[in-house]
Amino acid sequence: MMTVRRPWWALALAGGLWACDDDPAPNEPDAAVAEGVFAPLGSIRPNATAEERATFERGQEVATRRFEPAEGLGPRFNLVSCAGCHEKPVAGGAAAHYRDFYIAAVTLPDGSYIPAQGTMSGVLDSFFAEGGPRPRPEDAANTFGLRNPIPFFGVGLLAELPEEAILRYADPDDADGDGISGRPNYDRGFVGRFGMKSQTVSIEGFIRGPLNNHLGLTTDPLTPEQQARLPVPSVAADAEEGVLREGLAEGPITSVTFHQAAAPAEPLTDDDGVPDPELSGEDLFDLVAFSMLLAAPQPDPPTPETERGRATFGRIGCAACHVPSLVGPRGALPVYSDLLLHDMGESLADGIQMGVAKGSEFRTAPLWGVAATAPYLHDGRAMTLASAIELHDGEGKRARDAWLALADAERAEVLAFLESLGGRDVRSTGLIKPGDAVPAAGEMGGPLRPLSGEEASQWALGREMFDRDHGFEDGLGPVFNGDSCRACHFDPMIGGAGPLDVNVMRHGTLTDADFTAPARGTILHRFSAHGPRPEADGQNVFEPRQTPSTLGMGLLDQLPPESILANADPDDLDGDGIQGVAHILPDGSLGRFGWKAQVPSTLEFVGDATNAELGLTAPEEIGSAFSRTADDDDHPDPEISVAEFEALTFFMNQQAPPAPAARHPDAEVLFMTIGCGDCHVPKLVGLPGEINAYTDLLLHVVAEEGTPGIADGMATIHHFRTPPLWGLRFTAPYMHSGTAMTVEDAILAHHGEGAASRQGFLDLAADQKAAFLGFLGDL
Amino acid sequence: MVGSRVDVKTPGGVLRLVLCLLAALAFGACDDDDDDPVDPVPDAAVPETWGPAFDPADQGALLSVFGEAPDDIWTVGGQPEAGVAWHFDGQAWAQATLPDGPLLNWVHGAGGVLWMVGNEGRALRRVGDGAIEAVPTPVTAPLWGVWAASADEAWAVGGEARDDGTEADPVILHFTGGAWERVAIPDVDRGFRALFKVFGLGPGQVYAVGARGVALRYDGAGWAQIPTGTGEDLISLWGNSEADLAVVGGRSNGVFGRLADGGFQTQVAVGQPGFNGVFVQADGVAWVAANRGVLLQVPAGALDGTRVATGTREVLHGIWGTATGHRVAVGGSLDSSPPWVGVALEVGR
Repeated sequence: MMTVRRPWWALALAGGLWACDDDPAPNEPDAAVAEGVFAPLGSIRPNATAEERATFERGQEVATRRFEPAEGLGPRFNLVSCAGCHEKPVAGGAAAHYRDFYIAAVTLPDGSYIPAQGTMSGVLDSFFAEGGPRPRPEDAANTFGLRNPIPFFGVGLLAELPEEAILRYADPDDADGDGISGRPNYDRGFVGRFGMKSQTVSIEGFIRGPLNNHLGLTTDPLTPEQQARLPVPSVAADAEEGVLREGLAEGPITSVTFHQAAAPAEPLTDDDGVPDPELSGEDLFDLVAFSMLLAAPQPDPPTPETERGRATFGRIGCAACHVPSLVGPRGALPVYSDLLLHDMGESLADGIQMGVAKGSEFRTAPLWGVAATAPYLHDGRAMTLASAIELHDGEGKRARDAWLALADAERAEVLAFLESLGGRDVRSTGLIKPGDAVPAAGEMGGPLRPLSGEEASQWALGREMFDRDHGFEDGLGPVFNGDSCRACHFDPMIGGAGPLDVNVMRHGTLTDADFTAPARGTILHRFSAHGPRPEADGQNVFEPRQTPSTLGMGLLDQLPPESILANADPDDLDGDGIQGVAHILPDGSLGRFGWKAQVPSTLEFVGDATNAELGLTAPEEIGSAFSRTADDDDHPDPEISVAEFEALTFFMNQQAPPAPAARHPDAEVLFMTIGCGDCHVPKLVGLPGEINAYTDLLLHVVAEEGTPGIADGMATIHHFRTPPLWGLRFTAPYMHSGTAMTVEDAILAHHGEGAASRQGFLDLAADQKAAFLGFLGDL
Repeated sequence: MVGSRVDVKTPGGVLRLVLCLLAALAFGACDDDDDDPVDPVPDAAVPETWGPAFDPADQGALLSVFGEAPDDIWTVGGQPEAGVAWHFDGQAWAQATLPDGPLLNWVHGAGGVLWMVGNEGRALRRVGDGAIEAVPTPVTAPLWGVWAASADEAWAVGGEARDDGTEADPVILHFTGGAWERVAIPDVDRGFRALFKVFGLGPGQVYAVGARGVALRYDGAGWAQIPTGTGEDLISLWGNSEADLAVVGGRSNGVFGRLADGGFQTQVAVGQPGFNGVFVQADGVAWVAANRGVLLQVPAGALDGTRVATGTREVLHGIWGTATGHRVAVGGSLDSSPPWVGVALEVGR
């Protein structure tokens, strides 16, 4: 007889953890905990085969791959990659508020609930790949739900659960009178288990849908042959008999094979000009397999404290819905969810219906790995576990009230227990994980110079602040685009640029040549902390703005104005066709940051971004003209402390600039010869000496004549600041709208003052072009 | 046991023979007498042993079945680029010769005139025993449903089925003996892109159902919306009278409804996959063809039904039956990318 070595948590869960008399929803005490399925977040299940490991790696690449319009991204999208929404704390996880999305619907007087037109099956996208105004729901839309992404950890194990493992906890009519009902949702006739409303049964379906709704990628269903090869049995044929696989407990896996095969039926198509399917069957297979192979979060060893917390968790009624385990073919899974729908009351209801789930019904969220996947609840309104508990309503109200009645020490024990369910070791306030190495001084991502003592502490605080995810409880909003600085600036690292899916939409009204900004400003925010997404109100011009890198901005901040003004030639007195307008702001200061050079300093950049992009108010004593000191959300002002603001500013000023990968002196001569260097000035003289940012920080007309746009101060609709080119290889997409995916595309998008240089590039011989692009790529 | 016929000259006949042999082993009886008269049986006594009617093989999926008589039953479908039709003459199924054209989605007839409609605004007509001819329509959108009120009058509906978030106009066409003419869509309380089926209880009482729970009623003078209480797609409808008119739909979870209070009273069929087709017997019992090979029998007046074993996992899309108890259900691998494989089941022949 084979001896099986079981890990400590298996013994603990099978024995002690389930032996508590206080548990009102006892599990099967005889069910052994599944083996070979627990691992750190984002890891593959330890019991995976060599072939599965290879598939997992390929699937992980697909999950983190960024798609471009030419590859099928769009025509409408929220994201450019799967990992955009599933990144926290690692690929496969959840995400902060900046990856939230809206569901929009029309609820009619006769009770009809209809996904709003203008959405993708109800999902409201933020971008059109071709630019222009963003998608918006039909005017009749009257039901909106905000959704925060959910983690995928262990979903393959949940997919294997037989329906009876879930249905055994259903009590739709509350027959036992405990105030907890719980009913299943259904998908294609099978008990649903995935999604905030348990609206989906198959992982293939749970992936194909969002690929289409959020990325605009079309797919064909997996073939039966592919489904048969998936890590979770997913074969329709002979489903009644089930399919046994190596490593699974003996006995038929009733209905598993078939319900996993019940994925969306039809091939998906769109009209973006890219042949369908836009994601190959092989890539889809790898992606689905990757998700299925993600390990269950490995719990921490139990301690007396967590054991007491676990007991209290059961005693106060949490375990009535967050049942400690569900039993699948591999054994018991400590998922702490019944995967059923519960009425969570009016305070959490948002009216969104899915399957049989009504507007106030939500799936019990699995709690494994919960330590690292804040924010919590369907819309992420809770930033902490304690807050999440206290926001429970409806069927959760009784447990919430019991929680509120606990002594502080008991609450701490419950929280310690919850945090022991996996992920605590990688929890952070943002995406920087505890212990992550900081690049050395002078290296990109590190400080500009060696820091020590108080400066080092301030830089570290500023970096943490830059990375920190904010929630509504922290003052995020009332409207916002991101919930942290890092939310937009993360390419290739914290402080860097941002991909297409964090573009900011500017808008306004253009009448003939006159631009009028909306009263609330030109930013059309993506999110509202409360209520529907802000929408345009009759404006007729929309302009996406790509996120530029902030690396090295402190050097630009320190440039004396005269070094910038020296290149200005607003009247083109030298007759070279290049003007260069210094953006002098109303207070006389010189603008140097932002696509319109509308911001004069790093401090004001911090004030502007925290205010305009995050909705955070700043202390008055900072003296930032671009920030606000008060807003109308529920959080007391200011929402950032003086120390945080100053640290953030210090961090940004002390970021090392990108360093060139290689020098190409011959190509640089070409660069100057064809006129690129007239605007992308290679050298500016700052306090520390020469700065090779390849910018003059001046405004130039580079937009094509007749193109509508946004005006800002002295910057007309066709004026844009010359963007620095250092680190160009890390900052795609290019141009102000991010519509150029390559450097060459960006060159060809130059008009106006850049037209001559564009032609100069076109006139280069092929080898010269290659050298030229190599030079730019290595800046 | 219901009298049945097995024609071993056709693929379907062979399959039926095999099934009969298997059934004989199990139950000790298999009636293989071609000369036996078909005994009319009460609807309630229809046995629930479904078997292959014929083998459409790679000719494509079958989406609709209808007959004007027990020996004149048609089923249509095909592949996206090529529609097909099969005919049952009371003895055997045989593939019909059609003009070239794309997939056919629905079939219905009255007064000896049979209509078939399909993708790209395609409409075919067969008069009596004549050849099947193409009849122009003023649209290029898919036509999903057709209902003939008489030899001289028919309605067809259609539109873009896939909801990609953009607007597209649903289609209602009316044929009154001359040519198909497009009829204006009445004001409705929601945006929608397609009507999927049309069915009438008479020339002055016609219903159409479609995307996002839309249902329309024609009263002889004009179309108007009627309530349904659902935003789910309504796919098909059938009935003999106002008392038993049934509507089905739902893409993920089935939706079943009946005419009530001037609209359709609908409910989600918990635990059932999406419903595609419905046929209502004279006694009010409804048969529902659904995804995953599910076939449901819904008692008269009820909204809930029970599953009937079909032996297939393919999508069942259309169902129809004779007063004599012959039931035919058709479908195919519509939940996979084309090329589709069809399935045709029957019972009670």
